[in-house]
Amino acid sequence: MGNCVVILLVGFVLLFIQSHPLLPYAKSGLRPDLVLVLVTYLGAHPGIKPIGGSVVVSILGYGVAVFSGSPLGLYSFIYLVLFLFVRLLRTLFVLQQISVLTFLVTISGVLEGGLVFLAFWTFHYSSGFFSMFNRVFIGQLFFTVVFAPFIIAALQRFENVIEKNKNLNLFALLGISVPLRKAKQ
Amino acid sequence: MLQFLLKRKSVILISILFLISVTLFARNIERRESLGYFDDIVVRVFAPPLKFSALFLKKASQLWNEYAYLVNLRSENAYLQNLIKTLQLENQVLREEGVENRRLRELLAFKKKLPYTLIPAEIIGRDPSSWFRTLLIDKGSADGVRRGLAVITALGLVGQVFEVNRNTSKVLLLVDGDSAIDVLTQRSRAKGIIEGGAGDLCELHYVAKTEDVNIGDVVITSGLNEVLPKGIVVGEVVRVDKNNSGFFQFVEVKPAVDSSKLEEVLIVLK
Repeated sequence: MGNCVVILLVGFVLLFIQSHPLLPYAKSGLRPDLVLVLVTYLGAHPGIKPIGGSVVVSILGYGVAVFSGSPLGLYSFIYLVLFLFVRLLRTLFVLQQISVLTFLVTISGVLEGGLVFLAFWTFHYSSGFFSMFNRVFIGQLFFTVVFAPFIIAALQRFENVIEKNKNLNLFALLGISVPLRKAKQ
Repeated sequence: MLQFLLKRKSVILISILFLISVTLFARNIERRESLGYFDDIVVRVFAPPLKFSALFLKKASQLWNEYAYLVNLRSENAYLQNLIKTLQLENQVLREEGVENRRLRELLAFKKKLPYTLIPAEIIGRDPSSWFRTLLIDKGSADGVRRGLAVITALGLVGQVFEVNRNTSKVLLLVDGDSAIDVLTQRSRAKGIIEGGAGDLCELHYVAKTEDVNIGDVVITSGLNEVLPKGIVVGEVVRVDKNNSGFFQFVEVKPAVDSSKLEEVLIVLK
């Protein structure tokens, strides 16, 4: 449960960075899908369970939709599909190196584009859709792949820090005295 | 039965998540009118840090521009001092002309007033997805904002409010594929509907081939839908093609406002 909360917080920080109006890439109208990188990372991570991971990526997709003009449910669906897809690949390959994960992000980005295309083609087709898709797909994929190695490295570093300090009482670190629960006999 | 379900709880729970997301998507495929209760909570939690960091970055950028690029300040200062003296002389002449102008207007009983009320709003977020073009602004229903209100700058139309929260709202930009606004050309009064296109240009649809539309024509809102005021500048015609098949000519419009550079906007309240 605690891990899920931390992952959600990291996800929302990435979403915050993605939505920020004044960061350099904001001017181009194209922005990297940093949450997609996290979703791919979670899918490839051996310590993430299917149910917990599915719930977390669904919530992250919901968060993206709240700040986006996209319909609710679209990104929950897309991130869920991508998470399960990467989990499936994890049973076949070793997916821990940054280069491999970056390649996986590229594939996830292509799949994401395909799913958006399918969703809009099926439910919400408009005359300018094809030209919009052509404009956005390559640009967003490019930006996402450029940022992916840095995000993945940061996530791995963060995970190492958490792992090293997991035995520390967070409250003690903050100088707060909290009575510890007695261990069950 | 219970054992069967427990053995497959992962599949069942993931299937439920899929069902929820697809149901939400199918129900919300058309634009939502207002955010739900949970959406409201999420936006309320994340809007203040977004707003604060946007303000912080803006101030830092201003500071950098003011203090880090001060090259040739002394010579520029001297030049500006001379310019001030020249302008002061001009100002005295213009002031006198202004007084005369005011006097003549009063004589003619000319009344000038703003046709609508405007409230300023800061842009605190942009669409995190590149597929949609929306802005998050720091004004909501508590400030009188409603769905459909026009969002403008001094240069022209930016878009329309399409989702309203208590303290924030989302603006659908003119260049978004889902945007469709009734407009007309200022010169020839040719009517059409302007929709977002692929890049940074819009397309003016349903303009009959008999209509007189030329490159350079200014496009303004028609005011027909009673929500967007009439006469707000939308953009300028940059391409016209009457040789295409069909009843309508192909017209491309460059929006008057470059939405990628926006930091503040004005909301038109009726």
